[in-house]
Amino acid sequence: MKKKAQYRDLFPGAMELMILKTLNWKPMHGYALAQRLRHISEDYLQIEEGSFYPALQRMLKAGWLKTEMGLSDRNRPVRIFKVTAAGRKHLEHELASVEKMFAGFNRVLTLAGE
Amino acid sequence: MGRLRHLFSRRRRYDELSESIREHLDEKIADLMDRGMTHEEAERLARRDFGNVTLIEERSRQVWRWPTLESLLADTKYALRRLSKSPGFTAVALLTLALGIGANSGIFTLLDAVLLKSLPVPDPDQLYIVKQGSHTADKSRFAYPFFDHVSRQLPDGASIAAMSWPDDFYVSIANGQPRVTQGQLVSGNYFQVFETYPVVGRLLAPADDEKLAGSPVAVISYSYWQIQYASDPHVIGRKFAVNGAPFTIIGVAPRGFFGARSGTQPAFWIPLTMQSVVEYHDHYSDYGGAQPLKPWVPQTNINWLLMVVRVKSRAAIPQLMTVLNQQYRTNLESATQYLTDPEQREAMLRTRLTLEPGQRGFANLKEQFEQPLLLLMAMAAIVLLTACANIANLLLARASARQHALAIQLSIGPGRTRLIQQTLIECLLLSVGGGALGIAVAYGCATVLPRWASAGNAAIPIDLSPDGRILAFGVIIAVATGVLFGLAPALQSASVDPASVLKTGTQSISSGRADRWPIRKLLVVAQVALSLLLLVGAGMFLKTLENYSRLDPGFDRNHLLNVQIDTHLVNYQIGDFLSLYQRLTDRMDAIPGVTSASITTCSLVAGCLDASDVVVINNGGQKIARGNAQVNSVALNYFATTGIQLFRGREFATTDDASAPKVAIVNQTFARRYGGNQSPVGMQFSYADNDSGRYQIIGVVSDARVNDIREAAPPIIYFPIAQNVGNIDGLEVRTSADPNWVAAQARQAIADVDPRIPIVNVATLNDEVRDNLTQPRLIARLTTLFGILALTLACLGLYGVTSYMMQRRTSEIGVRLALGSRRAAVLWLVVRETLSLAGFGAMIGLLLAVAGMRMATSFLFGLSPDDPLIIAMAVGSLMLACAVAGFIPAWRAAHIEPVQALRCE
Repeated sequence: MKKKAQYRDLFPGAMELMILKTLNWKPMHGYALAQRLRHISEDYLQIEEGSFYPALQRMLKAGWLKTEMGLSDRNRPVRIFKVTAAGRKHLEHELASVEKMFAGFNRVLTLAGE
Repeated sequence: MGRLRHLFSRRRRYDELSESIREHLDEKIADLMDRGMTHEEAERLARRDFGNVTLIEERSRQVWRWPTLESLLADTKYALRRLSKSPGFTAVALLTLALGIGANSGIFTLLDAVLLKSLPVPDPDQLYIVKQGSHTADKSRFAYPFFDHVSRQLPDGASIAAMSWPDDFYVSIANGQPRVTQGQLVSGNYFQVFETYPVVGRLLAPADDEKLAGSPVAVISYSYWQIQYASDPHVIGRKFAVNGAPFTIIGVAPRGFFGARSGTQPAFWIPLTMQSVVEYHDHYSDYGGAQPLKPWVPQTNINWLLMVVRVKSRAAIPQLMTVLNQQYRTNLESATQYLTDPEQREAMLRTRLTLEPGQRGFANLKEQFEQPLLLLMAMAAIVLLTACANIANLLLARASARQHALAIQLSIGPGRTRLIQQTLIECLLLSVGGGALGIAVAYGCATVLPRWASAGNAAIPIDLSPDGRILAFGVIIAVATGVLFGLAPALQSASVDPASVLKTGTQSISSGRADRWPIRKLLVVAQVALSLLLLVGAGMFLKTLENYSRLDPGFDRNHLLNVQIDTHLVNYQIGDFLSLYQRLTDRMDAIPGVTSASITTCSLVAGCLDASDVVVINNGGQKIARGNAQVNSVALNYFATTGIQLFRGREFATTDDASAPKVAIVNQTFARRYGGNQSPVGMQFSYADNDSGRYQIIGVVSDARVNDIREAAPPIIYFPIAQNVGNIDGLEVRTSADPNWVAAQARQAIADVDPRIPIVNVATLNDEVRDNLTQPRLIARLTTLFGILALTLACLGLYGVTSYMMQRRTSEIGVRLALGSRRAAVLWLVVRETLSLAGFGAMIGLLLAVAGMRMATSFLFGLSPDDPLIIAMAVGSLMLACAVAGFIPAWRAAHIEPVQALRCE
């Protein structure tokens, strides 16, 4: 329950954004994606591995991602998630607005106490 | 299209999803095993890190779904399966709902027909009824010349039709026996104003209205055409006789068309100008100067026409009103010239015309049925509420039995919202199924009820065909019912705490949370309260019915016979009447078992409409009162025959003949209302509009309820028929023999005297009184039925709750018994608890009943709305029924084998 609460504290679309950014850097399969996110966030974000899947499905449906068959590090056939052109466009757009949001957020946090 | 594509490719999507997840887990397991874990350990850890696979797959799939539709379909299938698995529960629930929803829709069908349905003509909202001052719409009557003048001055887009009241005529087809048939005189443009078109032939046209007595043509109704002419398309040109005058059929009105008065169905329509030909002499009023025996059409002083306007555009209404009121004022100037009282004339001249919406026609059924129907509707709603409470209770019981299953479902499967959805769908399936059955019940009710509700055997012609409103009502009520009884069980099933239920294992009956209990208790309390309300109602209405039937109507109704005839049609001359009366009376007297017979112009209880305004003048010659009184001309032995008692003065004598001074006898109400504080014997009165003739009051008789057994007697004046010869309404006949046998003899007697005289009706006064009481009887019976139904449901609920309670306390009772508690004590323990629930419900019910019966006071007769005896009886029978319902589980509890009860634990 705790993990969920943490996830809920992030802004809506945060998980999609992290997934898009990661997959944009390199297409990968579900387990690799989970590993990667966990690794680079240094366990700050304790996300249930399974909870990527509904998000992945939403993004597939929106046309931001597509799947292709590929090989895992162990040479097993796996489904690889890839960012589409529409997905890249969405990512850029979102990143810009998120940056703006954080700038504002930071300002408030810095100045609110003074 | 996008959605469709999703739908088709979904199966593949789901497979891919499952594959991805499987790949994910396999990769992770392989990783973990690389670090030295066994396969089992790795798999366990992988699954733990991943989370609930089923739930995640379900959530991921939901992304692709039309979420509502699809899960609804799945849940519907599931609910159907569950319902078919417990056929007993399903049958009881469906039956309960069918009765509840059926009763409601049935009464709503009547309500709809009586109060809500528009006239079956195009654009009924364009119709208006012309209303006269403070008169009701169907008492706003006008003279033909007024109608004629108005129709010539109408603004564009407005048209006006005039019509008589629908009335009974004697119609004979192909020289057959004349039959009483309803017909109506209407203006030539009547059908144009209603915008109806003929099925066969043509309808009346303005040309049919031009020449006095010049157009003997008739349009017949669709049903008359079907019944009398077998829908023969060659009916045009056929002739029939109306009150002896020949008419030619020119067309058939469309199916369902009845004109503007719901509850009536004229069989034919003839032009207004034929009034004198068919000798229509009913339903008119005048302020003096009328000559009712001459043709009415040219007379400005005889008011007999109802008027309906069609206005295409509302903008024309102000101009129309100006025309109507200007013309009306002109008309009043001349019409009131005969009024001698200047005050009355002034008041008359101030009268204005208004328009009343005519969309639903003349509301004559409304007055009669609105209140009773609303009452029945309220009671039906109470029954439905009780039924809802019952089903909610059954569902709750089922849900607690299913707690374990629910807990498993919750912990592995869908979320709580989905569980609520499932329960609600199950409930809606039940209520919609019950509703469908109920509408069938309703249709049956709706065809039977009007027959019960109308006096005698003739059903009121009323359009009960189902319409959109009834369907909508059925659907809304079914859905509302489903939600109502489903809500509590749905919330309960969703509030199951999986951990606690699963921990205690399968014997989890005692694991329910304490706060769930009161819902079921409260439902039972509500049921008990509502059924008490209905029981009190039933008791009061039954008592009312009894009071009516025991009521002294002011005459002796046993062994008394109404012989109603109609002498109008025979065309007797004034000189013929006295001997006709004599022959009729003599012939009746000759029937064995008849003790006396008397002529009357107003048959008892059948009611009569003859009334006049009179002015009462005291012995000093002062006018002391003015008012309305019903009049009845009777033969010598009328009072002895009917049993109406003489209180003061004298009865009519043979000396009160045409040459003697004019005399009259009045009833007590007349004496009280118009005689001041003195005895009216010796006073005089005259007709208000005509000062010339004076009548001497010679006696006072008891009040007789002549119009309707439920109506207090109006002021009545009796005239000796010898001073007032004319057509009569029939005879009152007192018998010592079986009145039914005498009735048959009486018909023969009339035919013997003159076979041309139509017999309207021969009935015993007891039957007439019974017909009068149809409505209170219907209300009493339905309330009793509803009350018993509600009580049965409440007892079932109580029984269910008590049994459930006992089950939970089996071990406790086992311990009590093992420790030496006596069975009687255990029995009392349980019964006491049942009774305390019932008592609590009864207390609330009592408050409801007292408040509810106050609102229904107008339906009570001879008792107060908080009659203590009836309330006590209702409470008593309720508590008795509840005690029985509680006794069965109590007895079972008292006979538990302690050893077994304890072993169960």
